[in-house]
Amino acid sequence: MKSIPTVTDLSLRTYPTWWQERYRDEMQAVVEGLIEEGRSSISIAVNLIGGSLRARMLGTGAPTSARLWTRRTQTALLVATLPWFAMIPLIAVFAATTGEYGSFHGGANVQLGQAGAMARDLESIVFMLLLGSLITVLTGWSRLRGALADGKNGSWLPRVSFVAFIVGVVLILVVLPVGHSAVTTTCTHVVGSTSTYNCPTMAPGLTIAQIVARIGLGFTVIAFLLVPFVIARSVRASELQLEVLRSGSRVATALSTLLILMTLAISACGVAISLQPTPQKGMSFLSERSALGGWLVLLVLGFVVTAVISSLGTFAARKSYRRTVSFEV
Amino acid sequence: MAVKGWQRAQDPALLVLTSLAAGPMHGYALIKDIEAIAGVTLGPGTLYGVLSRLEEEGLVEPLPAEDRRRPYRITGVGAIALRERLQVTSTVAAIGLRRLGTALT
Repeated sequence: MKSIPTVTDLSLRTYPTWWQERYRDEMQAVVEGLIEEGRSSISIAVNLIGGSLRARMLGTGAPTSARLWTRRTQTALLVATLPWFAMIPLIAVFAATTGEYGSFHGGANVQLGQAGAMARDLESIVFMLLLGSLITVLTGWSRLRGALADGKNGSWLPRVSFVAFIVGVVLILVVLPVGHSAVTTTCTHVVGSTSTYNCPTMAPGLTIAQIVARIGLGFTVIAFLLVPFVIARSVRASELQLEVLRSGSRVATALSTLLILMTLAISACGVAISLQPTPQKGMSFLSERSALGGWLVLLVLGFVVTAVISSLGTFAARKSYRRTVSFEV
Repeated sequence: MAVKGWQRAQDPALLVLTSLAAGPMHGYALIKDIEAIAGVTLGPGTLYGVLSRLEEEGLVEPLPAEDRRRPYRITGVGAIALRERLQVTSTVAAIGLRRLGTALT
C-alpha cells in the first residue's frame, strides 16, 4: 500500500478529535485514491486544512453532547478574546512611532497639514477604541473570574506573571521621577516647512535610569505575555455555566467589533500619515520618530490578522453557544 | 466566452445529492462521479464537510463501511429536497434560457 505523504497526513490530523474518530479512515482512503491518480498533495492538504477550519468553527457532525459543546464554546471564546493581548503591543508600537501626529504630544508648536490633522484625529479614535476594549475586557474578566476553577493545580504561570508584573512596575516607578534626558534645540515649526522653534531633543545614549526603566518595562512585558496562557489554562480547566458562556459570547462580540474598528482606524491613519510630508531629522525627537515607514504595512497586517482571528472565534463561539443552549432546553 | 468562475460556482451539496441519486457511493466514487457530471473536482475536505452537514440534516445516511470506504445513500427526505431544488433550478434555467433567446432542449 502506498503511504500517504506527510503533508496530507498532518492536514488530516488538524481535524477535531470527534471528526477524526468518525471520518478519518474513509477520508484517508479518498486522499490515497486522489494521490494515486496524480493529484497534487499540496492542493489536497490546503483543501483539508480549509475543511478542518470549517469543522472546528461550525462543529458540523460533532456528537450531540452538552459537555463537548460547552468545551467548544469555551475554546472559541478564548480564540475570540485572547487576540486582544496581541493587539496591545501593536498599539504600543503604533503610539511610539506616530510621534508628533499623536494627540498626547506635539502640542500647539506643530502645525499639521490636513492629512496630518486627520491622522492625529484617527489616532485619538484608536486610543478611544482601545479604552473601550479595555473596559470590555475588564467587564468580561470580572464576570468570568468567579466562574473559573480554583487555581490549585500547582501551575507556576500565574505566580511568575504576578511577580514579573510587580518587579516591572516597581522598577519603573523608582526611576520615573528622574524623567527624560533631553536638550533643547531648534526644530521645524511646520511639518514640511523651514519655520523653526525651540524644542526638546533626545540626548544621545542611555542614562542608568533609562536602562533600569527599560528592564522594568521588560518585566511588565513578560508578565503581559504570560497572562493569555494563565487565562487559557484556567478557562480550559473549568466547566463554565450557561450564563457565563452567554456573557462571554457578548463580550467576544463587543471585543471583536472593537478590534475591527481599531484595524480600520489604524489603516486609515496610516494612509493619512503617508499623505503628510515626511518629517525631517532635527524637527523634534517626537517627530523624528513619527515616520512609520515600512513598519506600517506590518503593523496593519498584524491588526488585520488579530481582528480576523478574533472575529472567527466570535462567530464560532456564538454558534457553539446556541447549540449548547439547545441541549439545555 | 463563458466565465470560468461562473461554471465553478455550483453548490457542492446539490452536486453530492444529485450524484447519490444514482445509488449509494463512497467518497472517492462521489468525487469521480461529480467530476463526470458537472466537471467540478471536489476536494476531500469539501466533500466530507458537505457529507457531514447532509448527514446531520438527515438528507443522506452512511451505510456499513467496506474496508476503510464507507458508502453513503440519499434518504427519502433527501430525495424530496433534491427534487424540489432541481425543479426550482430547472424553472430558473428555462426562464433564463428563454430570455436569452435560446430554446431549452
